[in-house]
Amino acid sequence: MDGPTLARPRRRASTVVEPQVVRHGHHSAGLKAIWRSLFCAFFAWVALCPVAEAGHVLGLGKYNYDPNALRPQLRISERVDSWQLDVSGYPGNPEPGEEIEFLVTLGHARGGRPVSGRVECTIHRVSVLGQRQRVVESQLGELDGNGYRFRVSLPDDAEYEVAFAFGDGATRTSTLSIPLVVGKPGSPWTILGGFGGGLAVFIVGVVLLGRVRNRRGLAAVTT
Amino acid sequence: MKGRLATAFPWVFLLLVAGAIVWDQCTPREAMVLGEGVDGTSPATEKAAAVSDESGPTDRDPVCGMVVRKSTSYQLRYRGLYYHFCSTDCRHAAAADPERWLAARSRAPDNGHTMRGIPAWMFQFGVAVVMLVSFGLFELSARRRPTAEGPALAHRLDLLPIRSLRYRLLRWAPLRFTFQLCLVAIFALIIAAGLFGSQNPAFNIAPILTWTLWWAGLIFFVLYFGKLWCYVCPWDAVATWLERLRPWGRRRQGFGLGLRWPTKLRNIWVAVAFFVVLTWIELSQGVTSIPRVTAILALTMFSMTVVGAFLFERKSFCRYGCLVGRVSGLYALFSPFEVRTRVPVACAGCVTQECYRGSSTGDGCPTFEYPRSMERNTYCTLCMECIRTCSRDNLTVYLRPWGADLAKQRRARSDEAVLAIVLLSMTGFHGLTMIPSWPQWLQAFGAALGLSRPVAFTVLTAAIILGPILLFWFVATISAALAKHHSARTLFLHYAYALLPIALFYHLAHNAEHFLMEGPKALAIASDPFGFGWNLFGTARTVFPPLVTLEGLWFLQVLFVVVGHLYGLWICERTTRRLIPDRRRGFAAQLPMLAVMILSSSASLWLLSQPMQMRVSAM
Repeated sequence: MDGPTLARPRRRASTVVEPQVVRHGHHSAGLKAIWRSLFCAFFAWVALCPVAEAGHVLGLGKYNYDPNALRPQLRISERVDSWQLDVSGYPGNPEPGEEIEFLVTLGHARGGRPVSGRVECTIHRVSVLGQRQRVVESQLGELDGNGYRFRVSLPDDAEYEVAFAFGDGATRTSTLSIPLVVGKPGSPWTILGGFGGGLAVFIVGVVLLGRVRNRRGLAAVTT
Repeated sequence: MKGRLATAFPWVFLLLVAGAIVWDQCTPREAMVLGEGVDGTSPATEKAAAVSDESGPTDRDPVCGMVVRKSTSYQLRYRGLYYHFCSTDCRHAAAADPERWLAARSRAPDNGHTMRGIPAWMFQFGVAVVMLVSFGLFELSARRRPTAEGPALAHRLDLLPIRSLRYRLLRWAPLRFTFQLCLVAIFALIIAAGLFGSQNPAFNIAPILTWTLWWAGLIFFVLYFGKLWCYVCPWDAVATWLERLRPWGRRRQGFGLGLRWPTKLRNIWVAVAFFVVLTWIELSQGVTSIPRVTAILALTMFSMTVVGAFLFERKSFCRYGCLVGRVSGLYALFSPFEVRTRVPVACAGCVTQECYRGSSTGDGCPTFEYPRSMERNTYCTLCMECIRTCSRDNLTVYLRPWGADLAKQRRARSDEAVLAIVLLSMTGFHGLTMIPSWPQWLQAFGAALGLSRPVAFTVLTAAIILGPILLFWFVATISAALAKHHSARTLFLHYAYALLPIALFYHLAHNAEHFLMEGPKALAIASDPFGFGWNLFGTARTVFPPLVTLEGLWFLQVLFVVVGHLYGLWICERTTRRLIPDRRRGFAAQLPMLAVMILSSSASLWLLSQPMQMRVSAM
């Protein structure tokens, strides 16, 4: 046993100056059940809310995403194995059904000079719990100047993972996966309204519950 | 004398750290010259070049991408141009392969920054010092006789010796309100910026203010000021104002139901669960770089506090459910501030008990502590209500040595013991997820077990929480077998507190990376907190370098780990003397614990030696 957690006075006062808290020892089972359910529902909601919302936003840290550009674009520069990969995506935050264009430039990590090779692109839709469903089959990039160009369109407002597999054809293939969000996250006013409205309803509920309880207590004393 | 030294040590240590930072920022380094010798390759040194104002006082390290102050950077002259580096390691890397690192085409991209970990020699030196002090202290403790609380621990310095100060300052009701109002304004800014500002973390103040300054800085704050955060907590402030409908003054019958916190939950398991969930969300979802989710988390904490304030009596949520309060509360056992009675005997005849029940001048203790018998800081929120209410003027604020609560602790609780171990493991886990290879490790782990990324991450989180607890239990079992004096459970609970200083100081070492290296970026973002292109204070386009060079940071990190280890050993030794009076058995029982502490500190040093992907590297 851990022992009592609440520090209590060892000696009870013979005269109490003023009781601090009016305690209500008797609650009806119905009231208890109501607030317990409210409490559990609230905590379940707040626990799930950030997880569901987390991925569905713009500008994950991995991106160099510029929302102030004329057309928001996505730029990523990564070293993978012995390769330097520069990826740009237009638009950076596409709408459902809108065509997205990726330009991938492949170079050696040493020096970064562009090289010709083979780049393939595959896209999976990622659910909140991480399940992946392939929505765009592997397609080979068409060489355009120094880079490989891909054009895809994703139908649904959701979170995706774009995987580029690349190499020079002779050595083993390397992969770079990047997250991509299609559609816009909900309005911030919805979130603020949700929290504010929820709290307002909760506070009003508590105040009403307190009044009902006080009336019941008063009625019991009168009787 | 010993007592004064022990009380003064934290502040001397603070001065030492501050002095090291100032020295580090005022010392120019010699520049290395490359490719201009007779053979064209042999490096030489020269005095640091004068900083050219034309290109600004800062530059970017071409190897790792860190912003450095030119005047104190490690310079390399190559083909007539000066390059600036964060450390000699980066400079050596560039000197060894200048074509790769110094060619304009291949310089580190602006959106990536991986910070080098402490070098191998520093890691080995740190481990050697940890082992040396461990066995040195072990040897010393074997020779000393068991004593009660020593003079070093008993020393206290009354910080409110003047009666009028206590009365005028602490009884001035708007004092707390003023501090709270400032914090509430910052809290509102975080929510507004997170929800309505640019969602690029490089242009939004919400992530850096929350995760880099507040969450990282809180540990520094707790180390010196204990739970003073609770005094100014904005969530609690707004919840209390809403519940009472007034900003200050005594608590009356508010709008809340005043229910009692459920008996089965009168522990901190709820707060431990919240802490684990928050860490999981933070690390698995990358919320530290997502302004909107940062704002949602802030709103969630606020909502929980409001729910707690309206449902339960006094500040039950703060005592049992608040994860920030519980984490800082456990660390506050180490802090050098405490609120205690001036003359304990004077409370013996007190029948009014204003400190617990309240009086006309203030409320009773909001977290149900009974100040006259309070021995630990964990649940004291430093709200000063007891000082205001005590009619005998028998309570005050003391300055004391670090770790005073831990060293004389008689009561051990399972929830607190587990939280101490969880703090150690979760902080280490935090460092692990910042290693650049972490995504590959996670992917390999998930692929090996056929798990998706979130499930693999959750499984690893669970393993990293449970693994150290089971390991510590196993070690406690061995200690119990050697001591033959107490059960394994008793030793597990008591010795777990000795891990707190190690966790706290590793937490400091880790957070120093964020706070000192990334924190100054907040000065630039403060001019444009929403990312709307404003320039309120004229600093929006300024690049602020870190507060300390990388080599200075390494020195501080190793120092923190060693100091934390020393305090851990000291607490462990005091615990042994208290629990196992027999010197030989105590000596034997302490050995397995010593091994665990060396392992923990060495693991901390290993994590610090790894390169770290910084959280606001996109800035």
